[in-house]
Amino acid sequence: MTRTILLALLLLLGLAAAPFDVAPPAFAQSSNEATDRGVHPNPSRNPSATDEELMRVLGQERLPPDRVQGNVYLPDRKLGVLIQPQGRTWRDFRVTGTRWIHGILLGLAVLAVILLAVLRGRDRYRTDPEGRRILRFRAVDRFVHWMTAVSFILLALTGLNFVFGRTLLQPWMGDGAFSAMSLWGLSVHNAVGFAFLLGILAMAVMWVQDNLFHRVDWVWFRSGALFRKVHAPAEKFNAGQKLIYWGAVLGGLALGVTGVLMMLPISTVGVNGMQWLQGVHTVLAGLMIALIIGHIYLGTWGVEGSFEAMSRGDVDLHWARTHHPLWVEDAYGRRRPDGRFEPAE
Amino acid sequence: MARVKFLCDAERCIECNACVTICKNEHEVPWGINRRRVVTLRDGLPGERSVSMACMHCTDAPCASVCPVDCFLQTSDGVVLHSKELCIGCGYCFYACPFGAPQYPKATNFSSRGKMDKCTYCAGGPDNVNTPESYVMYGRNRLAEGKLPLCAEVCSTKALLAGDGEIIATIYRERVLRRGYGSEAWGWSTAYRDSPTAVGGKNSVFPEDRRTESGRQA
Repeated sequence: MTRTILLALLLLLGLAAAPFDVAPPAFAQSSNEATDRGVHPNPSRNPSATDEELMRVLGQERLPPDRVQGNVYLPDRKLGVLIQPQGRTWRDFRVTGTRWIHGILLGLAVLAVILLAVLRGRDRYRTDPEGRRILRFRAVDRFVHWMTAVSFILLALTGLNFVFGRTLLQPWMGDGAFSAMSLWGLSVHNAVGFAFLLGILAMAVMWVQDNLFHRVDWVWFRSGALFRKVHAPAEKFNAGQKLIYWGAVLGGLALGVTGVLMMLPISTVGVNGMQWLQGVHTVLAGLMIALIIGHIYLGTWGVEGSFEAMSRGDVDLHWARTHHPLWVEDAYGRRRPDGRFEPAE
Repeated sequence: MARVKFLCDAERCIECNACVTICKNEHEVPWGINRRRVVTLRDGLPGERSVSMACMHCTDAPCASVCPVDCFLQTSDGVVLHSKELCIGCGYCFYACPFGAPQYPKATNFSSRGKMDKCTYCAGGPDNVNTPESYVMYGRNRLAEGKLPLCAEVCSTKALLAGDGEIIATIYRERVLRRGYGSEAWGWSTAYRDSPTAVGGKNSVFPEDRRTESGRQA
């Protein structure tokens, strides 16, 4: 009885499949191949391609254009991303792009410093005959500066370790020592970042009024004071210093924000968000390091007498009148005919 | 030795999550870590598909390429392993991995990332030992016992295949030809695009020149 029903069903299926027998040659061919191997596919569901075609398609399967998102029965939502093709772009950026960007920026900064030192030379000054000195940075200014400076150097070194360490240090140090140092460096980077951010915030509040651009800064730029030993009129900070200030404050804030966001769990911004944060953080860090290399040169060897402003806090009066005449006038009054200063009102 | 691979047949996966569960159980994976997971695409809609995904042990592994401390190695079978003694938990391998395989346990109360954990293809740690310490760090070394990954072994519909890439490619080809549709081996070519067995070639030995960039090997 059962056998009869099965036979009838098979017959019906065969009848139903009859129109499919006039299929394109490719269909028939692969069907034959399958039958040869003892496989009897449902004729209505013939393979849509030959064996070779199928494996060619599988071999040519590309990454999806955008990430494939699904659902998971797990509380960790970021696991719902099945495939994220952006990872390949980020890999190229990380492995090749970052090293080139940082290498070029570091090279340009060092080259600029060498050119300045050779072509412009050291900017010397004559001291005030009476040895008078005036206060340039209060103790709190200097504390904020050095807190930010020390933390920036630590951050730059531990950060550059992530870019160049595997290539330059690991073969020389050995795996164990390099890994231990990198782990320590990562902890330092994550902790010291907060001191840096605090310093940048304090700078943004304390020094902003002295760093607003005025008409006189345009004169400074046009005089070419960075490249030649001329002294254009300048306020407490000349136009170049103001540029460094805004670069440090805006760049530092962006570095701080992206850095803190990267410390949060990945699910906060998602994997693609983390890739962008890391990219922005790295490129900005390269720019900041190049900027600060120039700043260090000008603040120490390049312009004689300027380091004392941040170490002792006071500067020679003649130095101040040469480099920042408008600031001296503003803070200590105009010079009377007898050479003394009349106090500002 | 053969070039071992994973293959998930999305036409067969029924989203039972047995592979996820048995993996956590076999390797005593820490809380919050899932070395394998089942992702359901178009959940509840026509054309719904489920895919069991873990580390695919890629031929040109992005994780090994971006690691700042170069803690990965690839065995002569093509299994991608990493040293938890060297890992610093930076998270870069997760950014680069196309499949979201690397996982990080919460190391501190500020939920900073601990040392990365991922599927080992049931091959234990990079030292290829079977000690209790290695078990705590990396899980069981089933390959050393002559066994294949447990997730594929328990799969009730044999959607998840593990083993010699050439053999599982043949099995999959048979299936697709038999049923005539659904050639969706998710991530297969992304992971093994430069590998000879990606298109069912004859050579199933892991190519010498495709090892991790540092040339580390087990």
